[in-house]
Amino acid sequence: MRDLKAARVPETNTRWLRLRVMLMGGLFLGLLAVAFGRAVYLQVYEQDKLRELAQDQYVRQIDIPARRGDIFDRRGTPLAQSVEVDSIWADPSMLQDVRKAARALAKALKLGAQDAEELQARLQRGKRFAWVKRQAKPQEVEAVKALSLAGMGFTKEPKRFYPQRELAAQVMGVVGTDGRGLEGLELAFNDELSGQNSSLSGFRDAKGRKLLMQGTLDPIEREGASVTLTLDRHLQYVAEKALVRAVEESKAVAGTVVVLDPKTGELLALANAPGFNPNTPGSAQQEALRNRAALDAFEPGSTTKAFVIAAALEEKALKPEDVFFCENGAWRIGRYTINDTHSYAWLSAKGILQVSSNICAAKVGQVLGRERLVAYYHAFGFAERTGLSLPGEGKGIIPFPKAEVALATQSFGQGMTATAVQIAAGYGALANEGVLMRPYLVSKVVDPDGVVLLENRPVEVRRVVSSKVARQVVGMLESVVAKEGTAPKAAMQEYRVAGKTGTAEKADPVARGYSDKRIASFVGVVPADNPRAVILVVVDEPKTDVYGGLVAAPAFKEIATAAMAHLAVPSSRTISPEVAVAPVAPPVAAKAPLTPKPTPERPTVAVQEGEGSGTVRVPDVQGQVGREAVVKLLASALEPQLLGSGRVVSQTPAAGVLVDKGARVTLELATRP
Amino acid sequence: MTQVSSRNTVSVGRVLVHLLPAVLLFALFAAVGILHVTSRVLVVDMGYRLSKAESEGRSLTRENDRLKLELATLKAPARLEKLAREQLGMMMPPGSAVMSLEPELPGVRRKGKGEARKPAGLRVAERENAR
Repeated sequence: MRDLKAARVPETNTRWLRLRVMLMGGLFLGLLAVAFGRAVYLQVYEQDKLRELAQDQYVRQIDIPARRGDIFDRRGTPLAQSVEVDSIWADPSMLQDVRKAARALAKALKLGAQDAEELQARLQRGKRFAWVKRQAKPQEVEAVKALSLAGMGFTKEPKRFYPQRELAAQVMGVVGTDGRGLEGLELAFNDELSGQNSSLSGFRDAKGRKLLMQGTLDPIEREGASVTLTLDRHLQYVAEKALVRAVEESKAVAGTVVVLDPKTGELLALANAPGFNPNTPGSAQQEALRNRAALDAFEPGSTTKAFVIAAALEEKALKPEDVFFCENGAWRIGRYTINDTHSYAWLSAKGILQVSSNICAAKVGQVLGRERLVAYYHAFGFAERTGLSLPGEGKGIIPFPKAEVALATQSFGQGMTATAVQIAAGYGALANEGVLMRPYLVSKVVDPDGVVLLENRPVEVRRVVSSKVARQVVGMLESVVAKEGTAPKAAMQEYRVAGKTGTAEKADPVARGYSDKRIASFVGVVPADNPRAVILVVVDEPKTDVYGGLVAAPAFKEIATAAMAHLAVPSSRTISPEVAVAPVAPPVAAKAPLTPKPTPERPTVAVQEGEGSGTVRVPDVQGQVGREAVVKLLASALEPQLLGSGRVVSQTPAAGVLVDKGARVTLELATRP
Repeated sequence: MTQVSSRNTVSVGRVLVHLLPAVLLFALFAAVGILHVTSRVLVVDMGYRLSKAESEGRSLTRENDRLKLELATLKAPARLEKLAREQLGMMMPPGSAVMSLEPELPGVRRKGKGEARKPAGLRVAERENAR
């Protein structure tokens, strides 16, 4: 205090002191301002950059691979699914003896000698990371874990599985190890199926635990779109089975089946033989991966005669009753001779199709003329891509037939190429009253959140021929499966079949001519009176027999039988009820129509044209198999309605009750316990 | 003395009054600090739980996918047919064995009066008899 008082005494001193205080204050304020400015600069201007730098040090991006979308058939059965499986990796720097570890791993994974060597090389090459086995099986993971080696790691990787195995394998295609589509639909819709890989930012603490700070993503967001096909699993299965049998029995090299709904253009089955298991695509031969049905164009042979006849009828160049002279089996055009398998003299349009006369088809082609022949082939959809959305789809070629012989051969399907799908679609146009529908394979691509990315609906391409001509030609084609036709083996008991055989000569690319190899085919429309399916069977290079009627027709029949049952197509021929229409005098039961206890043993009564002509008595079907009961009720002009399956346990109304014709009888069925 | 003591008490009270804002401020800061720390702890804890739940969700999804795949594999037609043929002695139905009926369309009432004629109770009795 005293010092202060003493210091206050000199005036000059005080002034100097004040100046010093102010200077110091200013200095400090200045420093403070600099510090503040710097803070503002760092916090405001440099914020983003610095935050990134900081996050690089402690925030980890946790990658979440997208889940590849599924592929379904038309009824929602999965054809391709993705599941995350373990992949095994190693940190070679933590392995004490790489060679020993490699040997132990190879043993645990049951690797072959070459794979074991590769594994060892990988482990020796990698410093901190090397794949041991990607997409390993659970047993393999267990085996590796049992080794309890240091430095082993396991990560999840999505793997593609095909639960139906060989079914429609070529249509599905193949996915590589890194989840990219390599073939087929997997390639065509790779972008849609893949989905978005996403990453979450979170911390990883000292113990390596994950610590999320942002919340998780909706799992829907990282899922790929699902693709729904028009294929029907059952028909596909039946088609493949029949095709494989046809190919094996005829010792052929390959085969193709197309099943198409003519009214919509939907492809119900697209089968190829030989097949492969897409779950292990590595073991398949490259040839087996090919989706021949859509990709390969070949010379179709006689199956195209129906188009030529239809075109000629439409252009009124030909009347159904016109007859042509078939030169008794051999016809010279310039240097070439056209042959028939059997010699024929005079044939009508129907006869030409029935016995498949090349010579007469060529004459119809002449009558039709070059321009119109080519124009009609184009109108039926040949020589243009059908737009199946499959990569590398074939197009086929219809060269303009300048030479006389080219016109002749193109009239019976040689000297031009087409894909199996094109032929089936062309027949679809005939079956669909002359209107060509665009064939399609993918009906829908839907995002997991329900947004429809792509939807295909039946599209009319054009009217090719009038419905009258189309029906005429289908009617003519019915004669092909008759006894005198080329394919009696394709005839079905319950359904009317219209079809055409084809036995094409295969061009020899080396010798520049035709070889003795053949492509046998049969294309059929069932039921001919109200077509529900077009089925094309192609067998490539059959050895035992070469004719479509012998090689392909039986497969057609097998597929058609299953298809008609599966599509629930009513029989073309009315069920001839052996049990029916026997006007019996009403038996005892009829006198007490409301009897509550109908005994199954009682002799069954079919139709009782009882008291009134518009009424019938309900037959007793208790205890019978569903089918027998239905036949009996139909025979009685009643309408059965079934609940459940098995044998009939109850019927309403009860047996013996008088009901109006066409009344519905409800049957409850149950399997025996 | 009394004067001094009274002056002292007054001064202590005054000091307290003077200090009160500082104490309150300190308490406020402390409270905010504790709250902040607690919330941070809660957030971190929540983060752990979140990541745990997320990985659990993923493993459940994976399991679900796997089971779906297994189901589809078991229902593959080739396998079903083999089982039906070999174990149950079944076969593919020949064409004549399949009868197709008119589809049952919802909302379309047929003219058939067969059902209407029977009282409902009878059906039950009938069913019991049939068994």
